[in-house]
Amino acid sequence: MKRIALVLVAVSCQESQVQEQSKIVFTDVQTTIAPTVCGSETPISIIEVNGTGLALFDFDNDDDLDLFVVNASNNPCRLYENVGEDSIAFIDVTEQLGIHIQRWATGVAVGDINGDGFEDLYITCHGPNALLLNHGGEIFEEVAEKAGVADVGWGTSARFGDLDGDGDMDLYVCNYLEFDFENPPAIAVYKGQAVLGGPHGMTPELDVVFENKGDGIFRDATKAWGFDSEPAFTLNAAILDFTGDGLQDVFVGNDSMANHLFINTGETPTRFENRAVQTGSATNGDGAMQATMGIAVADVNNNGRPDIFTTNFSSDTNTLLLNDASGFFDDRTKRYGLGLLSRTLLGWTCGFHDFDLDGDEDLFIVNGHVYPNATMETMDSNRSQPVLLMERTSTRFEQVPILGEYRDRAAVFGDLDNDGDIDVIIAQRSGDIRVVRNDSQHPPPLTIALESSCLGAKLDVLYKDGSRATRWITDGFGFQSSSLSNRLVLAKPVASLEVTWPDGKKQMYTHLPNAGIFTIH
Amino acid sequence: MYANTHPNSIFKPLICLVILVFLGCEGTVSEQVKLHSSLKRHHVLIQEGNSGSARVRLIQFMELNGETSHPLFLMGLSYHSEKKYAKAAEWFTKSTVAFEDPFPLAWHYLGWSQLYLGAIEGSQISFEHYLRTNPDEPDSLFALGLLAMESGDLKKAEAIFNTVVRLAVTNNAIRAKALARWADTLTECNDWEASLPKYKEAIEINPDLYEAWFRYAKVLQRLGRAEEADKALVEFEHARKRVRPDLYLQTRFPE
Repeated sequence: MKRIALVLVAVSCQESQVQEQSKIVFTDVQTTIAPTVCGSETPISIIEVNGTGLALFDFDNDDDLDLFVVNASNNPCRLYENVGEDSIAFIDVTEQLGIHIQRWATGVAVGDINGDGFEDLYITCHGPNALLLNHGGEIFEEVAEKAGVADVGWGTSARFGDLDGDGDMDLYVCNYLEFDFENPPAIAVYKGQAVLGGPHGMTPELDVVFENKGDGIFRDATKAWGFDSEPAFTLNAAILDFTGDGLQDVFVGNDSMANHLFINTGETPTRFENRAVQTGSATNGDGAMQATMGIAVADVNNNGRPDIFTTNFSSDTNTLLLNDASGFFDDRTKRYGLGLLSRTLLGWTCGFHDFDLDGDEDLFIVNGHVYPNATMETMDSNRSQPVLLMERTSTRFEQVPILGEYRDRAAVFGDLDNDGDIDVIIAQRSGDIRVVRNDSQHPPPLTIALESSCLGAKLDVLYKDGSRATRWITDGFGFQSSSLSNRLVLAKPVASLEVTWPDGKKQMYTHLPNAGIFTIH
Repeated sequence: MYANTHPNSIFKPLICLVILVFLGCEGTVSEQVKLHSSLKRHHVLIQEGNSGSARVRLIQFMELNGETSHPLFLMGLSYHSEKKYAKAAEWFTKSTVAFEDPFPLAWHYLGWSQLYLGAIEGSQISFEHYLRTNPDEPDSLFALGLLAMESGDLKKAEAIFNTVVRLAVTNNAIRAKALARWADTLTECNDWEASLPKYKEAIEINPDLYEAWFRYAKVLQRLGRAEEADKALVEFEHARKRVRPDLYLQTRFPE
């Protein structure tokens, strides 16, 4: 095992001038998970550059997190069961579970589409997408055609969420662009270098939204619900209540085009309107359309609203948009120290998690350039890049250096070894999958376990020290990836906890234990 | 202004030409800088966008005359003009360490290259180094204001932009961008009303400042002045098309 991060971070303390150590410690773990495949080792066209996704979820309801690995270029997707008990170990159960997905697959979404308590998988592809129905954690059945969700665009990310508020999981499918293997785009130029062509100059594809009819059948609701306004080079999306009205909205991350924010109007029949420009979420604060790959959501400024962080292209910065209570998003990237240091990086999956269990959420970003000929000399950015780990301090984020440079794309986050902290699995584009165990030292935390599938649920926490936090149950919004766990770890003793379920109903809990698992039915 | 006076220099101050070097990393401030007359053609090539040709000639020049600060600076400038900041920083750094032949402007450009590479500490040091020899140079001060914003010190940033506005009385380009970034420090604190006149003044001075048009529009939206905001967004689009037509090309990623 290789220790990849144990670093000193100077934290200035106005009163005591004490310097503290960063508490975040990650360790690489050896596993037998096979590398991902997405075309050739050196990509020769745009179809190969995005890599493939991961999903972390509990397919057999045995209270540990299992791993699904997407593979492209006609290599089989794989399901690995977590068999590690209190350690981390996976075994390949793909064939045993009846999974035979062998296409140009790209991404994966996790959600329980039929309410049977077992999470199902939706796999995006270039060509027909797949829906794997999970029968009791014992066998998966491919039912996309029958369910009406075998969309044939170039799917990237996909999300489940209850968009119409009827209690079941609808589906948002991100589509990128029209790509013909027989007629790939011409070479383009970037910083004077010949590079893979696209996405500009190619035809964007419209995203597709499917309404879950509740009987195993989905209906294409793209037009009926108002999602048909503008095709874009979509790479990612996040379903959550961004406006605080109890209805699920959709933030859509587009490549080199303005992002979309589809607000749920609450009308009957269901209707969404793209209000990204009006709310300030279409671009960064200078009006620049960015190349949004990763999306992470957290309540960074503690006002109870989900703020949006996006990763972007190199020679640009990542962007933090704070969601204020009046319906506007403000670019506060610089103020939180998240801007300039990302200029040499091309970011993909990112996630806010409390890695050091100090009560606030840190930020983990994986990076890697799309162009195989990217170097600092030619493009101010290398092909292989380090992970960017940003530890939250009282008012900002501070970088915690992590060793190693990779061609990362996907990442999933969750407690793999049931020790209460968040571990990470990272996938390179056509490369090794790294399992990174969180070895940070911390007192035993309190784990909130929600018993039912509850994507979109909101948890408002009042700690005994008087501080507050808001967290959401999401699939993490990873690039082409999903991390779904109904568990949430809280580092500090809790005075009260209010859960707002996706249907708007609220439940209040007091007298919670300081540590262990607290189950909410 | 920066004539080489070192007794052993190959440059002869008397034959130095005054060449206008643009410090236009974020804007278009200019300063008169003296480069050796033999380097005039090299500089013009860079200005005309023929950086590769300029580099070939600069390398030939250095093979004959040695690696002194002026050609090293122009090597850096050739990459800087192509937005290849890592290479630019490499050559600017070489220029700054040519101790027998100092050319302080290299520090300024090194600062901008480092800023674009996200090397915040290095950038700060470079700008401060340049300001030691030229304390009232507004563009380096402006950059320090940006770095203060990046470090979350909005009070310091506001004070710096205030100083830049005061110093750049006759330089509209830098005055405008400093006013706009000063307004940004106010919007960071949600002081929308106070930011509005500063944005307005900035775009009146320089209507090409498209980012300021956008931020002006956002503040107007905030204040419920939707019609004015829409007009400002239209001006933003027009200004951006004028200044950055490259963003509308169909075969490149935006920068």
